[in-house]
Amino acid sequence: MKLNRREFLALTGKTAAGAVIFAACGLPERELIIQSPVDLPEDLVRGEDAWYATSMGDFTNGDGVLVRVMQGRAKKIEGNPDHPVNRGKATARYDSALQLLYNPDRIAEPMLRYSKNGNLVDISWDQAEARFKEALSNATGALTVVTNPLRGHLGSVASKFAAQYDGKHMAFDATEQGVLHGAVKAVLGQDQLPTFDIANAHTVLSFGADWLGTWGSSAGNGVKYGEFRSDERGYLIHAEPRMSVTAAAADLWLAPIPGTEGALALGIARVIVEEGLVPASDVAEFEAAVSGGLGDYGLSAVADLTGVSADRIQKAARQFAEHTPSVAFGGGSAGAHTNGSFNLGAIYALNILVGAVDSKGGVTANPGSAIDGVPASATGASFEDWEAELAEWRAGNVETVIIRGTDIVHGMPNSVAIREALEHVPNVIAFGVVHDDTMEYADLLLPEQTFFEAWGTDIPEPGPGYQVVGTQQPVVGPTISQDESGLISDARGFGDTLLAMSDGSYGSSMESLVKGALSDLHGTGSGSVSASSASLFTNGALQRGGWWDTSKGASSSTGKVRVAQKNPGYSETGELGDGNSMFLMPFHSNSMYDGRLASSPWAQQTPDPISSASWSTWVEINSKEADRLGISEGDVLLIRSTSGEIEALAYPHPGIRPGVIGIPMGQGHDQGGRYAKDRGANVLSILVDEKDSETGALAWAATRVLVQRAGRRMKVPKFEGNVEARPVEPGVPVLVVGVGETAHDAQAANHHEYQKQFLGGDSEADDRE
Amino acid sequence: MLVPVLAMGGLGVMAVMGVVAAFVITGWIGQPVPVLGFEQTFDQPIDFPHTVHASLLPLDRVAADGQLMDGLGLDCTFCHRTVTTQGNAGVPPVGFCATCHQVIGAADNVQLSILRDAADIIGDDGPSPINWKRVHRLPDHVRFVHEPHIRYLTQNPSAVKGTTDGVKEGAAGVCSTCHGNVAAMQQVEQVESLKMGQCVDCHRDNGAPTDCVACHQ
Repeated sequence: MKLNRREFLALTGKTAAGAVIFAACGLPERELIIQSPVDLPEDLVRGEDAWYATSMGDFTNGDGVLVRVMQGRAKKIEGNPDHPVNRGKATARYDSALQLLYNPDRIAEPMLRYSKNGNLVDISWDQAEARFKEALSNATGALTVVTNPLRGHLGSVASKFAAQYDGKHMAFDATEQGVLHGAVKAVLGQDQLPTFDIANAHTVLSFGADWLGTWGSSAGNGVKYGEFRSDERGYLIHAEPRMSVTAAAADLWLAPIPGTEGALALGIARVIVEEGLVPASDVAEFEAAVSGGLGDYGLSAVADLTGVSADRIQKAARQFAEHTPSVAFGGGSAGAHTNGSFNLGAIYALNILVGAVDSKGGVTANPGSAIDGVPASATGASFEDWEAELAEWRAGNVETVIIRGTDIVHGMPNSVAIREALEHVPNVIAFGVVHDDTMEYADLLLPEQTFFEAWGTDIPEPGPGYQVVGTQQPVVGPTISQDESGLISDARGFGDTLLAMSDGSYGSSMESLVKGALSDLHGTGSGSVSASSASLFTNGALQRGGWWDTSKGASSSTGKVRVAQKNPGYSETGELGDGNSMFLMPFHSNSMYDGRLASSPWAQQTPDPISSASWSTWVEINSKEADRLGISEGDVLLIRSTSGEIEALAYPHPGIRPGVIGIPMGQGHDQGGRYAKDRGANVLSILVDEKDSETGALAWAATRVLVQRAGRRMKVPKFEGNVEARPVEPGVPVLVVGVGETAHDAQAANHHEYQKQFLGGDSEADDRE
Repeated sequence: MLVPVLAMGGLGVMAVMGVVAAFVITGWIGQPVPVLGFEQTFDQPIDFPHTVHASLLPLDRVAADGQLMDGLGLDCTFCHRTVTTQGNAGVPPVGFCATCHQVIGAADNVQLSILRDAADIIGDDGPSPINWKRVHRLPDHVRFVHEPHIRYLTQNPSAVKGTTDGVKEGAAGVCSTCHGNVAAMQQVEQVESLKMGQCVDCHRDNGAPTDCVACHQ
């Protein structure tokens, strides 16, 4: 066959085209393979999800959660409907915690810093354990274990480990609750925080505590609030200088001058007493509890002191006393003053006046722990104790510090110079999930398992009025990275690591401790799980997320308000230079809390419920005051205290008392992973070391600052105002688009005018003409 | 799009015909039927005999003790555990096979050695999955879910075609409708065309939906 050059090239081209077509249409080899995996755990069954009940004690006050697991991966966190505290409800913080498990910045393996100024280098767990033992070898009598406030077995193990080395276990909470615990103990005689029967109350009077947003179990509180508003609608009075989620939900919002909440409570009490709204026996019991009496709390004096009008004080008092059952409680910023113990004591004493102690719709005491030696209550060490401890660190008296679950460098004010104190400790061992600011000063860094991967127990505080032990179990195994190149993190549990380093006298593993405790509970023969054997009981408790015994309650014994300092004190701003002196009101971020969830992008992007802002730090300032000072939204403000300065974006709005600025906590991390690093400002850093006179707790709402425009502007990242507000009425078009007109043009040009025609407004005005 | 190609004359016509032919031919290769003589079975990584496991009948096979073997008569769902609940029938994990075969079967059985090695019972190269070759495969644009088919046929035995070694009851008694008598196959092969025509015929006969989206994604 003869082929000329042209035919040869044509045939070659067709052959090549045919080869490409056949190859493209053929079946890839991998599609003809069905793989038998080596093992098929139950989670790997395709399309079937498993829901495991567990707890997430670092992020809630003991709520029970269910984690949805598919093919071995945790996908969703919901509330546990069986759990007596949150009863199936959840908050945005639950979901955000999921992103700790899969965080791209999770610490993958142990790391060591060979010298204080050196870099962290990867090491094996064997090397890490050897270094850990070396750090403990000289630490007897010079060891401090620093954690977040821990209830349940983890708290017990941390305390016993510290005791084994004759050391200290100190908890740190940037917004410590010691004042609250002290006031509850003094007034109501309770060791645990009480529960508030909001669901059955007809009037709730709360001070400072944003209990629908961030205080206590806000998910559980939300359930109670729903019941409170159902049937006979309850009346909510909330006192707080800024409009929190709770204040926004209130029927009557009182915005007192920060630190005068106790005076406001006693002003309300005096109205009740003077108008004879409650029985004389209750008045007598109340007056016995408030040793200073009510002589200084006449209506006009209290109105002047608190900045709340006499009418509103009277209205609150009458509602509180006449529409019973009523309950009063406080916390948060109300206790974060130099007179915090007085404030909260006066607030809780109101319950005595209306007979709300240990009654339906009032305050219910919580019993102690169901498990011997396992704490049911925890609070941070006082700021005074921390200052003393840091002095020991600086003096070189502490050889080894073990830190877990709290970012002390981010959480402590500049005034205590925590960084410098850490540099004086020879061995700083930090556990964590994502690199935080404290780890910059760690000599040994150990990847810690999340609550999805570790064993534990969590005892809710406040509980529901009876004994509860929540269980935490591993719901996923070690997680493979998305590219299947290895584990996301070769992490170990904090408790298990401490037990491995211990003398073994208080347990070998967290799993055995938890199962042992459940076995002991089986021995009591009571509670929510009934089983014929300890192992069946353990499985039953783990399946339900814990054990609770409604028959194990407690009662109160009313005492006295520890009145030490009635009037609040604040830090000075006189020598700081130019600017407007204002009260600084830090508040918990609704999604990131105090910053512990800042590494989660879901937490970062969740809009604040009041301002709708996210991914940033903003300054809430009263609109009229902002107008007077020439401050508009997006102005960069310089906030200065005697402890330091930060910059944040102005957000003027009407929901804050003039003279007060509100700044959310949670941002301003030097580390914290890619989503948190160098974002926003850390309001905790500029707090001044004012303390509660009784407990020595940090008075974190007693800082006064100077506010000044920095001369720059940035857009506040928020949802509010991005879409123009418009009325929506049946039969009224939302937008009328003309021929050849884009929706954008139509919106800009005409929609308000068309709506005016339909709504009966001025029909002649038409911008398009 | 075809018009400018066809306008090129004979070369264009040839090109279009070539593309169509390629499409048809590869379609058959992807889902072959016996008439064209393509392979309906594959050699598998392990010579797994369905006869030994699924059959109820005496086998022409000698056991380790020299006796002729009887089939075990395992229900299909014993290994294909998700067939009654999910889209995928499921192949058992290696560890599942090893539950029996770490002790059952001669120690020097070559085929079982492959399995035991994969399950890390013998050898020192760690556990490894087994890549079986798929015999029954539907095109990507077909969404087939086993569960409703097994349920319907179990409830309506009259619609079942063929038998699995005489079994016509329960979930295992209905598989033969599409897969033939697998219990009698030393090596599994495809015996039904599993083409759209067969699906539509069966759906029509049994009052099942025949609209496109019932099967096509």
